[in-house]
Amino acid sequence: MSCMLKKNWNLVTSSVVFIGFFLWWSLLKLLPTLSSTDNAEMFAASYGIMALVGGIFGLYTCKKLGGFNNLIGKFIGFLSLGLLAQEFGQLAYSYYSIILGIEVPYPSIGDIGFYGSMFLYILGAYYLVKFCTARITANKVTMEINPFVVVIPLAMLAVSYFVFLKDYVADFSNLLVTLLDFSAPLIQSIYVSLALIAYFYTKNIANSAIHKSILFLLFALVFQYVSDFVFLYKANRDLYVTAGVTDLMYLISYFLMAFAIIKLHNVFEQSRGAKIDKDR
Amino acid sequence: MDKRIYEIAAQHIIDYQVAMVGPVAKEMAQGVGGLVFGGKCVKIEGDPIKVLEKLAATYGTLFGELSLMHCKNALVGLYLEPNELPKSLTD
Repeated sequence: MSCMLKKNWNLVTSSVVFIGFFLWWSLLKLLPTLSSTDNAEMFAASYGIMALVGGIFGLYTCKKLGGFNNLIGKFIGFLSLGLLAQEFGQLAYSYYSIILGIEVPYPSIGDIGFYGSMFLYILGAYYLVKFCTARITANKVTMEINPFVVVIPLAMLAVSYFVFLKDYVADFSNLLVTLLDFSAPLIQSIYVSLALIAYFYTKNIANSAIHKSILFLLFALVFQYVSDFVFLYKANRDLYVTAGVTDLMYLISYFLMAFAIIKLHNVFEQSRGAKIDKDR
Repeated sequence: MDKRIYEIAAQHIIDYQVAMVGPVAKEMAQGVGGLVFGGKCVKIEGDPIKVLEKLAATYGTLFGELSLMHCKNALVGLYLEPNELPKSLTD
């Protein structure tokens, strides 16, 4: 038992962190005596540790895979940096609400983390698509193009526009706020589009050792998008509640990403030890 | 067929896979019987077609059909005939 725990220490650690925060969230919802504003803000300030755990494991995996010098390393590395950027955003927001005791301004330094994470997820998803479709021509790695590459992003952009931007009234006196409001749903639709495109190309790795881990990572990215979507939707309508369902969704998406990265790491570690007919 | 061309083919495949997934690809190749590392290019001992087959199969367990695509891509420009290649690497 202890041998198995030692072998899977990374999975056990991330699972324990997730279960701890999930129980905390559940207690906040189930026990009215615990559900004060301070407790809710403490939860909101802390659960980003799940993203920190995932990000650190991810960068460790990236380093073991040779860093940013290959496609899989870039895929894992950028996703991990995205998780760390999310945690940076969470910590910055918490600094305003808990340390300074003021409402989080918009935009603030925390938004560098949140917007930054979306760009990092875009890069990660892009390199996964490239990995699944890579061809060599004249010593350059290029991508195979498919109609989905056009159709899916257009569809996601349309969804983002109709849900968030159709009735949006731009305030050109505050250009930065307008730019951020406009770009957030559009940038999100790009990274989820790439994840969905990558899903179609995973037929190329069907029945392989990494197939399930990659599918899991794609699912985690899509879940992250759904969490971002719900957060934006609620925030725009002043429906966001600290330590509510949105924060739970973010906690789950951080855990899914961490878990998927660790599974992928373990698959590669097992393949390092495999010997094919070495002694024949 | 000169064994040298198969050694170059094996090296190309390994280099391509390293560009995809990093040093773990080389470590996997080191577990393939018949491949000898040390020097600029890998050496093949025994039947070169069988060794290439084993190398492709090694990557196939990790990446599936994609690895065979990568292996075929890596052989572009070496002008090997289908009867000079393992069955899994011919179209």
